[in-house]
Amino acid sequence: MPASSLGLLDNIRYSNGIQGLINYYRELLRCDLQKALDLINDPGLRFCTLYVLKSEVSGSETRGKLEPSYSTALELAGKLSGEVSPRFEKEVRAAGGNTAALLEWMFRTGLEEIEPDSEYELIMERIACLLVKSCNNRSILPELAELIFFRHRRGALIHELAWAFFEARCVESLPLIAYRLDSPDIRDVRLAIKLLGFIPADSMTYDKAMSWISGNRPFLYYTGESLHLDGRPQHYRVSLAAKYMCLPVSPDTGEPAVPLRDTGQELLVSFSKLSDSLQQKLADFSWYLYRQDNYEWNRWIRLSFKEQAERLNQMTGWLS
Amino acid sequence: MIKLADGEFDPKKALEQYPEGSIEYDILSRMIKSDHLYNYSSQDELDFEITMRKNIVDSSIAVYRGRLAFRTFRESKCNEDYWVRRPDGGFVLKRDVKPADAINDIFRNPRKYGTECATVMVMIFYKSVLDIYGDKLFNNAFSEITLMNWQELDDLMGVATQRKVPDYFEGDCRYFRNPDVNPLTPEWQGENAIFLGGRKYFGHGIGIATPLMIIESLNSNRIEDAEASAYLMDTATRPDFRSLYLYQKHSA
Repeated sequence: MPASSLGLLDNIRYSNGIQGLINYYRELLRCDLQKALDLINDPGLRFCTLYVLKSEVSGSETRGKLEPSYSTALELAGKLSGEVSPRFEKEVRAAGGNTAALLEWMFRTGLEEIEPDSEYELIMERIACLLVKSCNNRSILPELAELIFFRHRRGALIHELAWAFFEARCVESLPLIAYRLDSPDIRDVRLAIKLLGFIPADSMTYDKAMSWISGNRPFLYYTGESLHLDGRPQHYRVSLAAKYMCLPVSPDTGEPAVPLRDTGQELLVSFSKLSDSLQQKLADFSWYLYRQDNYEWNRWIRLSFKEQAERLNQMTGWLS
Repeated sequence: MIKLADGEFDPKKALEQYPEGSIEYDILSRMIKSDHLYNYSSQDELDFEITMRKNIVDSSIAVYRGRLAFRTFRESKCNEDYWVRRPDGGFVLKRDVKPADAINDIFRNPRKYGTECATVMVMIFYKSVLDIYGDKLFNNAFSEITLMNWQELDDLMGVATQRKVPDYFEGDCRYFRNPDVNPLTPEWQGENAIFLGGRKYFGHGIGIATPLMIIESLNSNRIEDAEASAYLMDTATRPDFRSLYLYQKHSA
């Protein structure tokens, strides 16, 4: 896979813009083919630069001389740019490591979206969706979050990228959204508030969000909600029953990671019949006590719900 | 159960307003039979909600018959005499255009529009309010409109998704989720659909269909070797009927 240092053509794109790069490269192809090939095959080349020059490098003079992974990347981009066969998803899954690694390179080095270009946006979106959903790649989530906020700042569509981000079902990635609550750009803050709409807070701040995430981390599970369903989707929910029992859940299902015995199941059924507010209070207190004093928690959890609530009230005034 | 703050609720008298078998009758009778207590300030408020729910059903059928096209946000289109298409695929009401005219245009010239399912749900909600408010009140109430699925909705419309609701009624927007959707066609990740009564739903892009038909449509857009079927979630997305009623009442 190509190295990560910046190629000369990337520098020209930065300095002279897209049209400047295209003009430069066309001239180079005309007067110094070998140099043109050396530059386009630079191991540090970024995908966005390669994509900008896709028409130039498809000519007869360069055909068959492009670095094979770059050639494949352009082929993949071509497949992803328009009507795409549904079977292509399976082909990516079946192809395994090399294709996944190439898609990852395309995504990581293609982030600087070259222009508000629908076709390129669509390609990047589809790569992100494939990497997360088909290749189970969570390592790109920081870059994916960056792309979501970048696109949002310029008024572009973010729905499918946001969907892909949360479909990763990765609770550890939530701080990537939360830290935008401290952004100096109000558009970032508003989007972060929307995407973290499942966190109950009157005026959301980074500290409040992180405190809530860390306090509920083992009990959070993905709901499957998205911006297609709601303006403020509840992407995650806390399993109050699991928090009450202090049993971590699977982020996929919300079910306890360790199967419960019959008595535990019965307790959970009884707990689920309590009012929502009482469930919330007992769950919060249980997890608090569990971490503070495990011995005391073991005594408390064996009491009836009524006694637990009374005890909770005596100890903390939480029910007042 | 229904409770009115300003007096006794008479179920028999309330039901007599509507022909048996009508959408209004069906909604009211299920509210009456429900274990959940539905509180209204007055019979007027209850009538407002029932009428608006009926309007939502009628507007859904109108969209279906008008053959408004399904398009992803990237390819959305609108009548630019009334709307400005944004880069994200949403539509914003043009200046110097009357909101009521712009909403009516969607239903008069549906071929000039194309968008995805949630935005159509919002169009239906606006049309349903317009049909109850009339042009003048609607123009006063909604001077700025953005149509971009559930984003940037007017506060007065108060659209919210409720979870674990005790009952579902005609005019509710339900959501069918497709967890194993092919990631290359994320527009099939789910379908917003208006409950029309009986076993019928209107889902933009799918049409008027039973839940099973909608699920089959979504399932046909899953990854190969998919394990999980699409399913109907326990959510209902609704306008804030009470706020809309109070606005009308205080504007009278």
